[in-house]
Amino acid sequence: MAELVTDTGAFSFPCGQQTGVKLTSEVVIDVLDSYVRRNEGQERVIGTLLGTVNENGKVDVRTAYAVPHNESSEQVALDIEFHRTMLELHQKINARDQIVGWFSTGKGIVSSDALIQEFYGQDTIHLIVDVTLPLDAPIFTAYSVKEVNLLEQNLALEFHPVPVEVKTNTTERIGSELFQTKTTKRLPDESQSIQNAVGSLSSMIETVKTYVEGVCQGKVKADTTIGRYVSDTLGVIPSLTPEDVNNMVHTNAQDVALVEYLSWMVQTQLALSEKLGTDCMPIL
Amino acid sequence: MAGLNFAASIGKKAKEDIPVTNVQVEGIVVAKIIKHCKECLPNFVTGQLLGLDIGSTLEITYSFPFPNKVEEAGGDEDEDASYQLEMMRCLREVNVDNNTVGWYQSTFVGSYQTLELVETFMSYQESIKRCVCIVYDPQEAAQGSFGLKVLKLKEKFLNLFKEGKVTATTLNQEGVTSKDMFQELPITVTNSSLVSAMFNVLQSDGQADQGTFDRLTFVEPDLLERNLEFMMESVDEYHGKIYQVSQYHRMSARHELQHQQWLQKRKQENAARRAAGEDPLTEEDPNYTPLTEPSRMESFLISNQTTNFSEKVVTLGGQALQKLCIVESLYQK
Repeated sequence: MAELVTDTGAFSFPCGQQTGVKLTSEVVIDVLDSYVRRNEGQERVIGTLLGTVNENGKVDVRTAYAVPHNESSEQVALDIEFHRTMLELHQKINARDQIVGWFSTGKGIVSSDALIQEFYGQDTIHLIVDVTLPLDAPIFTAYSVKEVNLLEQNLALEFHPVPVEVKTNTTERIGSELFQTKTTKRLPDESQSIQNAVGSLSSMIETVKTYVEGVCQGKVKADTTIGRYVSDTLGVIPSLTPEDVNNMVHTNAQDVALVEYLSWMVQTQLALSEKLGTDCMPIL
Repeated sequence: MAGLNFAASIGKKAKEDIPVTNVQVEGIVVAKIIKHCKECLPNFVTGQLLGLDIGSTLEITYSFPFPNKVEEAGGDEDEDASYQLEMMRCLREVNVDNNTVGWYQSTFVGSYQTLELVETFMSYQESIKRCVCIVYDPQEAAQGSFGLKVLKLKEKFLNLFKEGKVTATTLNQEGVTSKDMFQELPITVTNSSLVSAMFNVLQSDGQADQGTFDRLTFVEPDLLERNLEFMMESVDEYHGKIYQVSQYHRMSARHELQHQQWLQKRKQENAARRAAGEDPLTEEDPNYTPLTEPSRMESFLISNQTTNFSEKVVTLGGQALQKLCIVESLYQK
């Protein structure tokens, strides 16, 4: 689970109601995909973010869709009809999704952003995704908005940065390599997957082992939190006698073998009945 | 000029005849399908697939979900159609490929082979020559495997079904067995460079990911048990179908016999009448209608399903044995 927290500088107290933004990897892919699909001559992509806000002010962004817009140095025009239609369509799927903000690709806040922010509402966040390669941090910056008033007159909009967290659980579960490479031919076979998992597990254990050895020999500075994690993990391993383990393993293996035999039998029976069963003599 | 036309016509014909052998799915489609199916558990959901159809490869570049069908009558069809049209129109404005290539659906422990699936295939086939169905199984994915499968109806079976000739005789003649219904196509996942760069940055820290731990989890025989249960159930259903077929044969044999007897009597009567000089009666029995043979579709689907389940049980069993070996070797040290 990777966390990308932006540089919030000295003032990281929350303004407005939003205290943080959480993105899922699907939203990230959606935004990138709409950037790749943009029209020629368009510098950046603008779109809506849908999701929910919980009581602590944490904004959970679940969907994003791009909205066509026209931008010139004087004005910005957003296709409002499109935005409303897509909102309706999305709400048919999941009625809980509300507009929580809007995104734009690019580097920083442009003056026209204030107008767009007005349209989306003052309690929505503005997410900026930096898509220029190389992708050096910070890639995601989010801002929540506050009005600057002077004697009840609205002067300007102030953008306050808000920390962003990207949760990549779902894509990691499938296999991080799937999204990290351009093409993946032939997904990992079922039997291979366990071997791969064991391989990566053993390499992880190797890393921990080298670290612990380094600490013991004084080469590496000891970090108590890591030390505690390691000892906790080792404590979780159950201590069983070899006979217990043998028994357990054998009984389980027998069960599994029985089940496999049964299913092979079913398959053979089915195949036989199809081959031998004719119109006149269906068997089983 | 004639040469050009000839070449063009050959090219066109070849395109329609090449079967799809490869499916290229973009990462965004995978992510969207998984998100949609997971969000709506325990309901089953469907959605549309959009993409391009090139030669022997089918590229799926975008997908969007369908709203849940509520069980209200009336107006549903129109609503669905208008939803689809609206969505396609909007997507066209953001440069998404406006070409439907199939649909996706979520399923439970691999029990997706129903008559509806075949019928949906047929209805799609009328408008699109080559369409596929992606089946996503959230339960399998929870155990660490990919969970996505791409299915296509096989040509022979398709033609047979279209003509409505799914009876035992024709199936035996054509040599179509239950395994010849669906074909699973190999999937290739592609990503744009930007997406792969982004994910390299986002996911570079972890060697440890949840997927690895899921695959190594030992003590949950859930999936295995459920597959086994379902296998048992489908064997029972298969029994039921076989019983029906044998019933049909018995009844139809008796029926035939009765009809023959009746015909005999009639013939005798007619002979007597002719001898007596009267008009012969008709030789058609208005009461006789041949019994309809029960369609073999259901039993095909069931046996396919059962085979799937048992194969799954075998795979899961193999994995469990592997894990057992690992545990044993760990403790022996």
